[in-house]
Amino acid sequence: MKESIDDRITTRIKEVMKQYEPDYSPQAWEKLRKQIPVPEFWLKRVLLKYKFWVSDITIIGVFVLVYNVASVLPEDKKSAVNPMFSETANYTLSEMPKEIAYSEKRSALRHTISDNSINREEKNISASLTPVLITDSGQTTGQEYIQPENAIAEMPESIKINPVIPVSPERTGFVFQENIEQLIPIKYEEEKIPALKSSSSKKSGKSKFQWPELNFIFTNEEGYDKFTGPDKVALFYSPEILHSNSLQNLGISHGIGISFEGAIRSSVSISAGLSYQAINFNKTIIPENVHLYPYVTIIESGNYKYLEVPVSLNFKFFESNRSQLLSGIGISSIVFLKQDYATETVTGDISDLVSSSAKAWENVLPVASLNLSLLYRYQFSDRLFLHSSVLYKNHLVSLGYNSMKLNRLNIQLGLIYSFGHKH
Amino acid sequence: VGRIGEQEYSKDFNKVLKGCSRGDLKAQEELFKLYYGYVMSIALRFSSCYDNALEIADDSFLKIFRKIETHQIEKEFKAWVRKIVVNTAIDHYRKGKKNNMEISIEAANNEPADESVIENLNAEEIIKLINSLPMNYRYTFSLFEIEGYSHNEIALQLGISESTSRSNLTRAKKMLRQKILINSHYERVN
Repeated sequence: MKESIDDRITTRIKEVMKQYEPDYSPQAWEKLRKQIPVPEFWLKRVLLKYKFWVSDITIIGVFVLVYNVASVLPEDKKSAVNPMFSETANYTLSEMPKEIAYSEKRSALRHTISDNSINREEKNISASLTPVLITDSGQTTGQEYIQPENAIAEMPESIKINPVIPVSPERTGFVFQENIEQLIPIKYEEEKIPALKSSSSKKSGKSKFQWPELNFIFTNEEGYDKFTGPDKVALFYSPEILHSNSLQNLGISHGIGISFEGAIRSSVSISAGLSYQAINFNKTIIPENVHLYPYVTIIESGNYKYLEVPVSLNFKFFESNRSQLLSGIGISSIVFLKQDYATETVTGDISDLVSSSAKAWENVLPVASLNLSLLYRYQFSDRLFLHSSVLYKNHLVSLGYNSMKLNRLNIQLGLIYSFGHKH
Repeated sequence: VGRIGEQEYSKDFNKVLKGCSRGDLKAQEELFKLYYGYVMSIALRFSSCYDNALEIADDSFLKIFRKIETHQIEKEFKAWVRKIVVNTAIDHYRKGKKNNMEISIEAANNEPADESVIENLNAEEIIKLINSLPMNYRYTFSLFEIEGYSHNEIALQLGISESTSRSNLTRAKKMLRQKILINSHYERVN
């Protein structure tokens, strides 16, 4: 009877409690609302989530900015000395007037040098050459920059005897005054004067931003044939920061590698390489729901050794006399030589170890990761370069044994030997 | 005031869940409205009083808001909430364990209870009865009889032996019976 009373009470309690739900209380919400933590600023969350991408973009930005500042500033301070104007013409470029006027007896030649149309070096040389145009003696109209009467007498012989050939204003960037009656322009032979070459010239002395040549497959470029030189071989040391989807930061692996790069265009190349990486990691995890199983600790450890074959298409987007910046996109294949992985669960004094390992060559991933890279080269000599790069490798497939995706931030530092030639 | 309806997994409900995972206060309030009654009904079974139950409910909701990102929609949300509330109650048990005193109860009265007294017990009376139980009896009774835990699981969760869990359950039932009989006696006298 006692049992049945207890059962009846229990049954009644179950029945009633199954149906019972207290009404909503606004006061209860007000009380709880004060305890809810303020959510993190969305930008912080985004930055944390995509920290590897953000770091890549930041590195690229810093490289470009620093190099721009370093390469452009000294150019501004160059002074130009015009041998023809002796004392009056000795000024720095920053003080140079935009318009220089020359007048003669019956004609006036006026040309304008535009700051935007040609670079400073070109202006400097152009200014030094301009006086040879004025051959007639007579009155001058310019006040500040009057050509000396004895200018012709002082003119170097080599300039005097130059042939005078008409040239269109568009070619030189000069603008002629409307009242010119006797115009005796001179042809500037661009090929003979490097500074007057087009701004795409490599030897212009000023660094220049180049957009990647996306039409390189279909167009021909003088001096470069597809899959011919100059080619480069690089030897490098490459530490890698490994980031797993399940274990977060695992640590740093170390490796060495070699890569070959073949030029397709002056600013487009293909590279392929081989590198060896090794990592040991040991990570202790305390589960979030620790209250369910008190004193539980999980220790994940691994030992990975792998060969990687990256292939990449590189675009040179920045170049100066000695430095080059390239961005690249490619994929990597991975072959695991060793893949030991163990999980140890410690509950109080009890330890439970589960380990797995793959044999060499058992785990082959033909398309393991998508790689984005930023390369910087510094030319020591004709053949020798410094090789440095930052690559972010986003894994496309999971590793077989523990479903890990090893996203990696790879840094390479080494030397390049250039062994090919231009055609 | 909303209650959990059959359309739990409607588009609107999914919006509420997504809003909560973004930390949207309005979505959190909406979820609180929907689940307050359900959470409190569980919390009350493990509490000595209303305030204690509200504390468990608050902690449960904070956990829900914090972990809602990890919850997969296709899984039973209600069951997930229930598990969180029970686990939070167990956390409270562990915190309050030091102050928990074993209460010896006298031999239960063998007098059979009037069936109508048991059948007429309403929710408030039952909650009062459960709340009046000592903490360890209350938890063992609620976990075993209502949540369906085994003695082995209760022992693991509460950090006691299986035999203690069995003993607690027996004593909880005895105490409930005694209290119901005393209450019915007072009703008859009055």
